Amino acid sequence: MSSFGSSSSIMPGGGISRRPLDFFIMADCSGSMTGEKIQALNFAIADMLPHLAIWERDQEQAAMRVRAVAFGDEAVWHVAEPTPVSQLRWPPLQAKGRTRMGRALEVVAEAMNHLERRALRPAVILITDGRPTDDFDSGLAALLATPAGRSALRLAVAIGRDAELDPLERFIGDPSVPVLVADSAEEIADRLIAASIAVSRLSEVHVGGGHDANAKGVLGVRAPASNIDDERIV
Amino acid sequence: MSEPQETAPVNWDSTDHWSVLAANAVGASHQASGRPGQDAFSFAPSDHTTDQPLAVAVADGHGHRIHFRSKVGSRVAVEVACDTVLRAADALAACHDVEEVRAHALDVLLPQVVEGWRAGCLGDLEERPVTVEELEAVGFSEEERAGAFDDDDPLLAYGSTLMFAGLAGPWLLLAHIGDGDIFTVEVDGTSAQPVPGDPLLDGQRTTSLCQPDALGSFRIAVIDVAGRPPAVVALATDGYGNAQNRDDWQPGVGADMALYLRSEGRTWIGHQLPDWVSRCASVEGSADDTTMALLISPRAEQRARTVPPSSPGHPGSDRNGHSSAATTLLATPGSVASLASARERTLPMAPSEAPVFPVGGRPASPGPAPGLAFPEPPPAAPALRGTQSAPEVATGRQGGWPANAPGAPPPPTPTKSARRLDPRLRGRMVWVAAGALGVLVAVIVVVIVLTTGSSGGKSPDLTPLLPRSFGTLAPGATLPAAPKPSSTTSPSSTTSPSSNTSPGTDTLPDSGQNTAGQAGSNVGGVASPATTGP
Repeated sequence: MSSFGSSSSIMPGGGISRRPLDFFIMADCSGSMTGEKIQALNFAIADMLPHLAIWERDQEQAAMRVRAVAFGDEAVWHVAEPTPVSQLRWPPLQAKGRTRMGRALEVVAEAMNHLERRALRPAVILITDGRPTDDFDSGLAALLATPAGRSALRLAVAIGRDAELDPLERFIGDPSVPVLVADSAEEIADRLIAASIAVSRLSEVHVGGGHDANAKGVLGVRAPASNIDDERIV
Repeated sequence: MSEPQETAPVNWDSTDHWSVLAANAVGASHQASGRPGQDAFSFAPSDHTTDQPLAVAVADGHGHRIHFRSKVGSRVAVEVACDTVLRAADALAACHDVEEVRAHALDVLLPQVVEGWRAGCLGDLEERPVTVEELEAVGFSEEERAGAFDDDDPLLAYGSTLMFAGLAGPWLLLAHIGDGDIFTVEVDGTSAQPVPGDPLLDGQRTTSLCQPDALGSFRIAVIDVAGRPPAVVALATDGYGNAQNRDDWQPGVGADMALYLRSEGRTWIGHQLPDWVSRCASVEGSADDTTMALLISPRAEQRARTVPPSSPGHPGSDRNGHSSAATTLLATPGSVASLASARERTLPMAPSEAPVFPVGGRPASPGPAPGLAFPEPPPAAPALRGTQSAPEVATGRQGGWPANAPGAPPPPTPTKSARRLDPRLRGRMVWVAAGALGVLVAVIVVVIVLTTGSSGGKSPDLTPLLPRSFGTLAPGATLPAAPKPSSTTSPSSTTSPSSNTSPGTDTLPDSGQNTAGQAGSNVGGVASPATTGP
């Protein structure tokens, strides 16, 4: 046990903890997701969470907190409070209505404005089987207008071939990061696991790599190499 | 995690001078990846008297691989800053007002710091040209190496933040570029951030000495310390602040530091500081390199004992708890901020964090706390000039001697009883006892009221006090149970796409090295200082 773990140890202030890594799940709950798709999505998210919990336990830097927005006729918080990933038991989604993806982006954008100052670069995953029925561009603009939203790792999972890829690609904003396409309900879990791996890389460190969560970009300086991490070098 | 090492004992028998305490630790993430610590600090006391100049500098080398020589860059930064401040000390001390100090800092001192840093780094580059092996070691591929730095300033590799404090005559000059924190603590526990913030620092990016217009990104403040100087001036790299639970951590830390000064004194703080930075640098904190330097003003302990701890609205402070004791001029190159705006940036004292009563039972006389067995202070040593890089600690008093000066006795190891001497806990015990007494009285009153039949109120609704539940499955839900990690997944599966992804899966960039199993890596401790001579 760490010698620093004792709560009786003296230290000024209100205590210390790992830096939070906020993970936002944006889940499509429109009518087209009814039936097998929504059940598979519920299963896939529930399957992804233990993977992330194990990763969180085994790394050095981040305390992952999960929130979720469900969007159908409305975009509402499905998991409203930032919940430690190891404590989250996924409440099943119910499919109904349209695809208010733009509004969901605005909801996440609002939350991005209230992240802790010390929070690590957040991650957002957008899961959908269709196309937005509201003002997607406005929602995306709201998200990208926030520093945290702009710097966030943004991933997208398209369920089925009916999903419109263009808005998802614009949401990701990085040609080197593909939209993860699940051709069948069975593949949703695989795609979410792949996405969770990318999320876990946010605070991964390895010798010589640039994936140190504490590494920052320098204003006015562009990194010579191009990868996800270098997005921060502007 | 290794045990924190205490600072070496220092001649703290007199509190009549400005003192310097400093410590740093390598971040757990750096240790896990085999990267060096990239923080550095330096201080340059030159004499025994308070009239002599003093310089303290802290720097945080950038962690990204393109700044692969930032460990050197941060060391050069702190050395150049201290040297420049001492050279400019006479001119600063001769200034007649804060505006004159500001002008001198912006027009003369800071340009010298920036140019000195560039010259020092270029000197290192000339002495040690970048090699292919060095670039390979930090992870650049052959393709990336080919044109990596063709169009970039070679000093990009040395990128670092810098914050420093220069004491000259009645003036305390504070300067800062990049992230990290400079804050002051008054004797009543109120804290302030005298250096203006920078809206460009969004947590993902930082300003830096390596940027082309570095001079324009410096922020400065000038404090008249001739009258009532702040009790403590703290300089900390972002590894410290990023470890704190609260965004508004400085009021709580400041209040506690004042309490420690009041009840224990600077020697005790000096012994604790390595533990503080080590904890912040550990996996329990930011896991980042962490450095903190504290300047403690003359007779801060005595002055702290003469004033009650502050709370919001305390006389002498504004509504944000900011003390108006010191005259402060805030300035950024090209613009001068007002004192009023600085107060607006001052975070309010958190009531729960603010001590409200002197430590119970604590004698008011200075000296070691009961249970602390500090050794007799050793004799003073010659003038001190120290430079540190992580992981190191040092303490120094202006005109004092290095923490590891020859002949210095070993540092005292706080006993368990000493660790139990948390002044906050002792102070709160008084209130717990008072609270218990109050509850007892309330219960008696309620019993009397009930037995007399005069109470017609409803039972209290305890619903808001119940723990909030998350993730409760709806009745009748068809969602299968989440697979147990131990049976369906392995740690490696979380970082290996191939293990859980079917062939033909869309690929994401390679995840790199798995860090599983590295949790709990030691901070590596804080070594005894190897303070260098002049």
